[in-house]
Formats: sequence, structure tokens, C-alpha cells
Amino acid sequence: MTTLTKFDASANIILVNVELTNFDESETTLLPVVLDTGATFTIIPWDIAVDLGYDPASSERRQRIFTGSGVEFCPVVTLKKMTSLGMAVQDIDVLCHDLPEGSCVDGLLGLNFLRMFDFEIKYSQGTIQLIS
Amino acid sequence: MDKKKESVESIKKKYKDEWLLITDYETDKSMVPRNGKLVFHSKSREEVHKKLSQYSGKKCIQYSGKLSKDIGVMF
Repeated sequence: MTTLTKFDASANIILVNVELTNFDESETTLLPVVLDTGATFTIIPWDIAVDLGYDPASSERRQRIFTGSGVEFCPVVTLKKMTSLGMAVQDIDVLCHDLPEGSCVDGLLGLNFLRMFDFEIKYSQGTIQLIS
Repeated sequence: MDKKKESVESIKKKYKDEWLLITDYETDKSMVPRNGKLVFHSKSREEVHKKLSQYSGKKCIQYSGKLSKDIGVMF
């Protein structure tokens, strides 16, 4: 299966959307995130995880992450399903962490999602191709 | 009163540089939201997050502005 997603190649970030699903798949939340090939993990806001019924506060798993401003420990939750760029992944771990408000996005789409596919970013055409 | 669905493009034009909470959304194959019902908008992302629990089903958060060209991003 191959998907092709357009993005704004003139922007200074690659903005895409991810859809997060709750345990029984009765609720979904779609949010704007940055596609970040330099990020190990996908990051979503703490409030959105809680709203979908996940519980980052009681998660026993904490991931150490190196950011541009230092080292942080973030709770890990396992989402029932996450969909982005036309592809869905079941039971995927994400980190719960709030990005700065001025960043205009709500999270990061990182390598733990992207590495499940072959992908190609074509800036000349403003497209992202995912191949499963 | 039940709100009507609008295109996300037109909602973004009405409320520029704001965070939007849209319910009952529909997307294209790439997960780009195409239409839905605007239920809340604010300059504050945190305020939009606080409203999430008041709605159920399909909820979509969007930002109607763009990152300024003079701002660099490194997460």
C-alpha cells in the first residue's frame, strides 16, 4: 500500500495531522503535529491523552529524552490506534509532553511511527510518500 | 441547536490565528480535516484543550495561523 500526502513546502515546518483513538475506538482526536525525522518518539499533549482515557500520570514507564534545552523524563502510554499520512498503526507507544504554545502545533510525529514504513519526502513537489 | 458542518478552510478564514475545536469532522485519505462543526475557538491552545472533555466522539484541533517565517523550530 502506498499513500501520498501533500504538505506546504514553503513553511518552515512540515505540518501533518495525526488521529488518536481511545481504547474501544469510540472516540478519536485529530491534531496538528510536526513531522520530525530527528525525533525518536511521537509526542502528544498530556491533556489529549487524558481526554481519550489514557493515564500518563499513573504510567510506570518513563522515557528519558534529550531536547534542545536539556533532559526530560516523559510518561509513555500505548495508544490503541494512531493514523497519519494515510496509514494506521495499532498499539503504538507515544510520549505525553506539552510543546510550547507558540509552536503552532500540538505534538511531534517521530520515528517510532515513520520507521514502520518506507518514506520519501519530496520538497520539490511538496509530497510525502509512505509505502507499507 | 445543532450546528451545521462547515468546511475547515472557511472556518480557518473566519478565525485567523486561533486554535479551533471542531467536532464531527471528516478527513481526506491523508487525514487532512475537510469539514466539521466548530464548537470553540480561542487564541489559547490551553483553553481549547480544557474544552475537550465537554464533547465526545470525533474531535479535531486545528490552528488557523502559520508559524512566522522569522521563527526557527527545534524540538
